Amino acid sequence: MIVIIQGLILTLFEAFGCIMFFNIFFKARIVYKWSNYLSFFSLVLGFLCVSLLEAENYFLKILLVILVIIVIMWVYYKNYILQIVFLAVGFYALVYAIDYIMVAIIQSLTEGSVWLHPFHSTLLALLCKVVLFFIILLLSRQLNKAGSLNLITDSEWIRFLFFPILTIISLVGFTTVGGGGSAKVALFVSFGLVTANFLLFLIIRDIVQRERNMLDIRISEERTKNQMNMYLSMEDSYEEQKTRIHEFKNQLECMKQLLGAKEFEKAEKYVNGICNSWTEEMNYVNTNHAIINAVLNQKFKLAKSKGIAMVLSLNDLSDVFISDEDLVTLLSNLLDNAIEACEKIIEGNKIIKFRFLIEGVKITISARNPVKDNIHILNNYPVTTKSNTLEHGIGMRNMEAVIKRYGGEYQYSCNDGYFTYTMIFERLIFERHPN
Amino acid sequence: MIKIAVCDDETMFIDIIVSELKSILINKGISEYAIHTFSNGVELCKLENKISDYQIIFLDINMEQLNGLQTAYYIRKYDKNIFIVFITAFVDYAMEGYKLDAVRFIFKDMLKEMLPECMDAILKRMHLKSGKIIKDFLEGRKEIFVDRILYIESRKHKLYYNIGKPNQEQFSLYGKMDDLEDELKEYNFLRIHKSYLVNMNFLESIMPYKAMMYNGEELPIPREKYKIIKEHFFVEKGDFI
Repeated sequence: MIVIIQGLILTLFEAFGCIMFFNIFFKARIVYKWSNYLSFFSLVLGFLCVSLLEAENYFLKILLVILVIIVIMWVYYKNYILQIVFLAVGFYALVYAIDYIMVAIIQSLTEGSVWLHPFHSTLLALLCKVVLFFIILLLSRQLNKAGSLNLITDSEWIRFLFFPILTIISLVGFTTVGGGGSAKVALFVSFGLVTANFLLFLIIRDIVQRERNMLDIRISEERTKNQMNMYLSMEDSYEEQKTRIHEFKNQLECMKQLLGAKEFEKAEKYVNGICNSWTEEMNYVNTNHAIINAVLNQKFKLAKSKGIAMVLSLNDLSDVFISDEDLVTLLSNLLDNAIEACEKIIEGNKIIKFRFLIEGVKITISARNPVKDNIHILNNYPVTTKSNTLEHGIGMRNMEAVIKRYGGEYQYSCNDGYFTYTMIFERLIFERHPN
Repeated sequence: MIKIAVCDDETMFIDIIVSELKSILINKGISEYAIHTFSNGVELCKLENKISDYQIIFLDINMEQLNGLQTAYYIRKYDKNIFIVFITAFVDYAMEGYKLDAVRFIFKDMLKEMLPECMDAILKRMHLKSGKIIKDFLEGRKEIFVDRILYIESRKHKLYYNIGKPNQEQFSLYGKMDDLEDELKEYNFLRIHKSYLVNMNFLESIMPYKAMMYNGEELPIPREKYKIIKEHFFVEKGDFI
């Protein structure tokens, strides 16, 4: 009975490893939660059936196991069959190689005495499964850049790896030391340890996934905020225009009165006064694009109120092919970050160089600003100084998503006390990939 | 000697600009300069071809009789190289201003913040424009403005200088690329390949493993250098002068 339970647990571990391995390369096409369990238990069932077969031919059994993996994974991932076959063979080769290497290592450590007690062979099988799990974890971290494991920072990752490594060491210890009276306890502890490893992995994966969902929510909130900003800045300029028209009517009325009364000198003085006040409140930027004008003027005034100058390099932007909403995301985030960095400069030139140019089929948008301290870049994002750590690079991520959508490229760097963020879009590329 | 003209019909602004310019130039250790003031565009235009005596002209956009933009059109008839800076209260004329190849638009209410950066940019441009090299090429002794060099190629111990506008030329001499790289670093040249040193001003775009020049030529970039070259290119695009 115990042997059956042990065999079942080992099969569970192997099926789990198989799914983890496939997840590195493919994304499941069936998204229902039960489909995960179904594919897992189908694999377990398949493996058990093959192991219960009375076939003498060992290679036939291997072929059957690979076939089981291919069929179930093909249903689950619906990917190209050749890729599935390739991965299924790859996975089995990995399992086989690990078994072979571990047996060789343990044999050399114990000089062959390991086979004297069935306890050892069970432990050895268990050890092979933990090593398999460990290697798939490393592969997942290395190859699946978009996967959950890559949201864990390097230091968290090292702390987490401590657990499987410790398990492997303990198992090697148990296997190489003789059986005796404590054998059952050791076996029990070993199974417990390995199960704990898998459970820990599942817990961490879920926590990371939850964090990712929260981040997604924050990003979509930020997008809504950007849209709101756009409407607000449009509304502001509309309100300003309304006030101006109202004022203009009053001023015309006043001039009519003065001219009617032949007070020419007073009228001239009055007109001069109006001209001065108009230029003072005029917008700073005109690019022939209403949204870009609204955002740039808003940011220009904001920067100016903080004693920050903006040097602009612009041309006629009426032909920009980026949607209004995306323009607001790009420009607001880019300039907000630049303004925020300039604010921290205590002395010296608080100047932002902003460029938005259309040159032929290319659009270049960039901002360059001085920084107080050189910015560190961690996990491909500049480390934020915002107090709320959840806001880590949210603006940057939003910009990145927009740039990618339009097939653009971007690059940022921080050298000699200046931070530069540049993005370049190409109209031809965008037209080829409109989504 | 740097000759600067300031043209504004409001004497108060002329005084502010002149005193700011003086303190910027002194801070930069430049003592040989002359600043002349003009109270309207007509006065400046009367100079005709003598306008070229000035390297930098600050022009107020809002002037009576002849406004700043009209004055700039006139200046450009005589000289394409003068650095023109518009002084304005707003950039509604920006589109036209850029056609006139203005260095900057400076806002009247931000003179103190914007003038130093503007002068920095102009001095840098002057430096880049005035850079010359005199070399004994195999084709004879030549004097070349650095800003005309598109790129330099090294082939079999020889360096080939590819010169751009107004006419494409190529000169060669025996030499080492490493020495040249140091010599031209201050003029915005980048070594994209062990055999190519490129003037960044003529670099149009970068794509996997090649650099596209404005004249349509493609130069190779080695795989291992691609990332760093791309970063340089993007920073350069974002750091205009």
